[in-house]
Amino acid sequence: MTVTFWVNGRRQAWEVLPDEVLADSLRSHGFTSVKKGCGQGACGLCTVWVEDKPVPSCSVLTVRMAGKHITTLEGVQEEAAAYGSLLVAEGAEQCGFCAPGLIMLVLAMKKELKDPSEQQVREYLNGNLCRCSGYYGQIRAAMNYLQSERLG
Amino acid sequence: MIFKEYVCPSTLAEAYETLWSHPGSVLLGGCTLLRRNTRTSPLGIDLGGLGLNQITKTGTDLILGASVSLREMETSCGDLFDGALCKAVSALGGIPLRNVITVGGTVASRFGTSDLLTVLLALDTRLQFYHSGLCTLEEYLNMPPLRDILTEIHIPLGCSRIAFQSMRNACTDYALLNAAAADTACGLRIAVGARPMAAALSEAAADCINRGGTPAQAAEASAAELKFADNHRAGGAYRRELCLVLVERALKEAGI
Repeated sequence: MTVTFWVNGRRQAWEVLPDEVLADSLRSHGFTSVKKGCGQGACGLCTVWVEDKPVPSCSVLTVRMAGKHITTLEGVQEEAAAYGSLLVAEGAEQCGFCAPGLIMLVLAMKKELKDPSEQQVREYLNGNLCRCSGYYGQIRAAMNYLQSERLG
Repeated sequence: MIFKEYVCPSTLAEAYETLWSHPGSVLLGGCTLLRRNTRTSPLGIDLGGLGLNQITKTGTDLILGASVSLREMETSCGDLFDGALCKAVSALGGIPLRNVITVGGTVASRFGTSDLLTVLLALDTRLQFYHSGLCTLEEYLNMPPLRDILTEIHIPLGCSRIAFQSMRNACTDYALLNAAAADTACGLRIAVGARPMAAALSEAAADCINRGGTPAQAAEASAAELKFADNHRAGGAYRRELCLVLVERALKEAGI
């Protein structure tokens, strides 16, 4: 069946199966920033935005996206680079596989939370897993990113 | 799960008629557990077009539409019931996942591992089904499978105190056991879940407190009354030991 929606501001009409998940649809159409880890919504690697809300794209049916606006890392490259550079500066970018999903979640967090504490940041980012690190670098980078955004 | 066809009805009547006229069809809630299900269904019926995503507060109840996401519930109702609704879902994955999981899907599925079911049972929650009407959550948990559409979850606001406790191997894992103790408008309600069976009320624990017993004595009563079983996460005997601790802690935390 054909489903019509927007990806990164561009209208798309994709032929999909009824039980196809958004992660597969996005990757098969070239949006390969979307990574697949667990396939069950438990690792956060596949995080994208639907109507600006972060969702696990491996657990979202593409057929439900009719009329909706989807954002992947490809669509927020400038903002992603801002946090991404801080991530690198903290040594938190190792294999890189968790980064796209984490960056999408951090950018969503910046929109949703106002002046969060480190504990609130940790709670927000809970559920996006990294196999390389102990998360301290990602958290420091997130706090630095929020601080730099506040200072403009 | 594989389903061969997909429809998105625009009215409850249409959705219900489709459910009954298509044997084997499934209702689609949050859909986050589809990948763990190996069934093949001929038809998926999406409930997303039915407008069941409202959160309403009346003079007596908090009413959650079945399609309200756990995250919407967390952010809109976090200050109610001593934050128990938030505590009950905070261990479930991350915020992206909770943006998709629905309250209705969680409740209708009667998952044994659900923390939210335990809290809702302690809060004397009522469920509104499209065809069958209103029933208590307790009744629903003990019913045979019901081929109907859950539309609303009604949580009475007359609860003065509630506490939720759980034991889990990791903070985002499913609970080995959970418990909630609430002082509601209709009396004390102590619920224990993830036994691994779904939440159940302990009448014996409530009676014990009402007769002047201590939280420890009430916890013993609940552990003697309720059934526990083994699964890969924990043994039944261990769960019974956890019940002694979690029920006592929940009662003390709630000041009961």
